[in-house]
Amino acid sequence: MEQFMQLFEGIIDFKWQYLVMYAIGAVLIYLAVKKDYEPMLLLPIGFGAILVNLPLKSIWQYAPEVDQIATNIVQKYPELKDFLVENFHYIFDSGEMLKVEPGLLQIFFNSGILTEIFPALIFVGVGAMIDFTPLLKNPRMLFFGAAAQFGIFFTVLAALLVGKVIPFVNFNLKEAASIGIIGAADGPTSIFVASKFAKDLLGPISVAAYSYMSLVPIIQPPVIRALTTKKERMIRMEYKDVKVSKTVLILFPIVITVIAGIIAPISVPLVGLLMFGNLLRECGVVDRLSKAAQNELSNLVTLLLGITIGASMYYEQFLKMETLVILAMGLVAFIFDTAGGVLFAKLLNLFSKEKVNPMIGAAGISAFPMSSRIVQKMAKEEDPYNFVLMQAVSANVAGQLGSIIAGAMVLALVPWLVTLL
Amino acid sequence: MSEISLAFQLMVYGLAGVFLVLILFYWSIKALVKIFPYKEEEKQE
Repeated sequence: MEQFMQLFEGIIDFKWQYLVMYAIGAVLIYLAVKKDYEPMLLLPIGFGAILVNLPLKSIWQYAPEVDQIATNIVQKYPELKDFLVENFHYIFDSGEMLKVEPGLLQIFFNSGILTEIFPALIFVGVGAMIDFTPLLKNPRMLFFGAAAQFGIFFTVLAALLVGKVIPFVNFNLKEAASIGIIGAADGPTSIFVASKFAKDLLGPISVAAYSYMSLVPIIQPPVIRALTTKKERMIRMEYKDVKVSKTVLILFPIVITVIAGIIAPISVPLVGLLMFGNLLRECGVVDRLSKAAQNELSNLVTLLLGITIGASMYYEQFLKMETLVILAMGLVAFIFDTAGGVLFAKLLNLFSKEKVNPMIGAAGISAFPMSSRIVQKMAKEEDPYNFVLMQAVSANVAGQLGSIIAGAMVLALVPWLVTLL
Repeated sequence: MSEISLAFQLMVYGLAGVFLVLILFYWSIKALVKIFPYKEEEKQE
């Protein structure tokens, strides 16, 4: 009879919350397939969310089994219980130690995300895809890449304040920092920071980061319009086509890695691998490696990253008030990133003879190339002969560097600030 | 010290740090472009 009942284990274990998670997974798949919103990530995330919410959760972990030896050890040395639970996949239940072997997606999660391997490898691919030439031609745009990180830090503050207002939501500084980093508009950086500071919030943070990145064309224009006048949006900018030598293109990733490594050592896994990918691209002698990083490596890691992030969306961790707050905070982060960039450009215009179109500031976020395209589109709407795309692209590329450095700052500063509590 | 005041500190130090690093990037780009200027031969290559 017992064996017969095992046939229906899935039905017996079924919970209504699974249905909600299937609906959420389906929405993500719908957005990917029908709306083309970051399909490379939202589709695997959506499917991963469905997979992990199937009864028995076997894709994440195998059924617990009593380990008599571990049970005897813990009975003799109770102080070892916490050590075994934390480090060796045990759970303690009714005086017995149960071994819970990790399933396929938990193995990916432990070895790819908790070790930072997936986000780091993604950076190699991203680096191989980025052409830094527009930034090298116009390095002044770097400052917009810094200003547009304002949303990250504002959102950390907002997340802590929300915790004081909404009952049942109480983020600590590390969790708030992980939420704020959604404003990096850079999925791998968000995952990198969240995997260090708030593993339980990784699912909602990743979903928010990638969803809002695809919604940049909807989020940014109203913010830009609200903060600029028509006259400002019509400002034309002179573009000097400075030629950049091959030597500069090759030395740039090396120099940046060394500077970042000295000033912010914690940024090395991010900046270093991004620049390694870029060096593969620019050196001109390892075309096969460069193409492999841009295509095979990038695609494979994106696939595994997406489905693994989806698998972190188990209903117990996802169906919480915190998730809604995180999604709302993600929007706040993107809005204030845009505002930070635009207002910084307006501030520069107060002192500079050569006026900057303030919309360029909005392109300082890392969402490449959507943000620069929006700025050009809006400039053209005001003046069909205004061409600011090159400057916007420079700011956008700067945003990619800025977001990584901002992530590194958060990683370096938060553990220190927590000690001041 | 409350977490809110720590978040303010994070904002100040964090943004200052990002600007500082990017200013260094700016000067290093300027220096690189100056030291290794583009030569016409590169176009032919």
